[in-house]
Amino acid sequence: MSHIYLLGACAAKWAQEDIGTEYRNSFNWGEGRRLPDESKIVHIVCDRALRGTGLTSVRSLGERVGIVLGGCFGGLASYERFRAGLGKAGELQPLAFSFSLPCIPASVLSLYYGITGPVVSLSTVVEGGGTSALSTSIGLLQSGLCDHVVVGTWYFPSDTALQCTGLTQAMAAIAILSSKSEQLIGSALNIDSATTGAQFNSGVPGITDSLLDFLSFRSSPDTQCLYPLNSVFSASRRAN
Amino acid sequence: MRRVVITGYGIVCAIGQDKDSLADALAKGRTGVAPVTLFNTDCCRCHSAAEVGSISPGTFNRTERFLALAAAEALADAGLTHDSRHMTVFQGTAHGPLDLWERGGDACGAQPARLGETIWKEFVEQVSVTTLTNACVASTWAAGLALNAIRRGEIELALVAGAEVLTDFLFCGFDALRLLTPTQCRPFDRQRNGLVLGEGAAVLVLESEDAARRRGAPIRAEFAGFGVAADANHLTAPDISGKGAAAALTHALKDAGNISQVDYINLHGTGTTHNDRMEVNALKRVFHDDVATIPVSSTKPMTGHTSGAAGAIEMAICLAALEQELIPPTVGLEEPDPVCKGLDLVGGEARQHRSNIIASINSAFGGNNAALVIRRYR
Repeated sequence: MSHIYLLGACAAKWAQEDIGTEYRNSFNWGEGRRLPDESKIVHIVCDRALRGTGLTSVRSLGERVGIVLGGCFGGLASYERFRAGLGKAGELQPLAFSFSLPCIPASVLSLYYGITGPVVSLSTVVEGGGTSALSTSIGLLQSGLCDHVVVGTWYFPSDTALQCTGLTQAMAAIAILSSKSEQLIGSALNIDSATTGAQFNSGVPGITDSLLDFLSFRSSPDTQCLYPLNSVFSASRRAN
Repeated sequence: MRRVVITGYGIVCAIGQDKDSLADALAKGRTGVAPVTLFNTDCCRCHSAAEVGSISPGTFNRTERFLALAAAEALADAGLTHDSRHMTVFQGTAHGPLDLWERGGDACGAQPARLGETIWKEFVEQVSVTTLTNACVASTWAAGLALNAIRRGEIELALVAGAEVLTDFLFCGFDALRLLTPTQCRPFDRQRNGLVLGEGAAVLVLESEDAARRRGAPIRAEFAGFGVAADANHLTAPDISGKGAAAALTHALKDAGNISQVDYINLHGTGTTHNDRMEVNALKRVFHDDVATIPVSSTKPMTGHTSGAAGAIEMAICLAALEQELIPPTVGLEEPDPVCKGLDLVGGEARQHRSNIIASINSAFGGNNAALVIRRYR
């Protein structure tokens, strides 16, 4: 089995009202202004994760890069907005209908970074997002569908999501995995040979608990980026 | 590389609530499109859809009843009993069991990840479920993930499912986007003016060839190839150049063993001008002049566009076409649009044709394209 490397990771949490400002400060992209907040948080975190990894030409990553994003309650803020206009003449917002699709944040990344490889959106339960996304992304790499994967999870406290989870902050966590580490910076964690992790249903042994924790928001503080990889993953690196 | 075969399938859609009635409808070119009865469409421009109609009552919501019926048929078709200990499910849906929520049920339990939760547990002791929400390629993608998991040797058997239900949210949303036809869905026709929505579910049983042969399972076809590509061009509109869909199809044909000849292609064929142009360009990019030798059609005028379930439902249609030795027609296609010049579009009636290799293509909001290839098993 070929090795898979972790090139970098970022996670962040926001209060809803701070997202717009943060996004405007991060991007000068016309298309981005109309995006729903859940896409904006994924975009901000992905940008931070990508820029620290050594990948070049991040606006035209091409067909050997894939995306796997897992989210629970995806698209619901837009769903709620569109739904509120149903039955009221002139109040329907067609764009809100389009943005209610849970796959929109992944499509935003594909569009912005020129990613034309496999793009997957997963619906997950709150506690299972990291495992499902990681398992799927490793499967894409092992099947040779791409060489690098942007893998992540996100949560946005729409009215419904808030009612179901009680979680008030918007969150996103993104990691960059690769099966081609030799082209990149040398500090990548070799996930496959790590020995401390959980077994899960992709059949990949030794995935680190810490990466799963990171993608499931269990270990990261409000904002954290890791490149070269340190702290959170140090135990796994020692095990290598 | 391990070969993967399809040993059973089941379907519930507007033109049939089992595979036999599906095959009959495909042969006769029968459409399931009729005036909407599930909800009020007074505030919409369009008033037709392909509803499943009355289904046997049960404890589940409508989406899950579709799924339960299709799963029961698929498992029986594959000769599998309901007492399997463990099963892996890859399922695709755009919005999940929205009907549960919209009829006053629990919003927290109506999310896509909860789709089929009760059903799968009824069938097996332990179930591992991956839910894809890639809009209209969700269940095509589900099939691809299952294929590759079996090829990698992680599992020997998987269920692939797609399910979508018509709700006023979905209907009014497409209507607000001006994507629904106020007249008749007729992909690739000069007069085409939009899509018609549908609903339903399909479930397919995938197994490694070795596992299927070991248990003497009926092998319906080989699942030979899968390919994907993103447009990275526009958030909600397809890339008219067809580059992404062409890349997905090219990858699928390569994955199936570098094949260059296909006997039939089931197109995404929604009935919108943009999709038609994109798809025609994609076919010409892949096959050049040889495109004239490949019969193609869209079955969405019969089933309606079933969003996240479309990939699985159209895969079931391809299996029926293979088994029944026919090519389903593009119902409503009377005068092909000039942009389709050079294509062998099957309109009017089903064509008798013994296919060995069939491809199916789907494309989605967000510029996501996926294609798969099935092959007559030898």
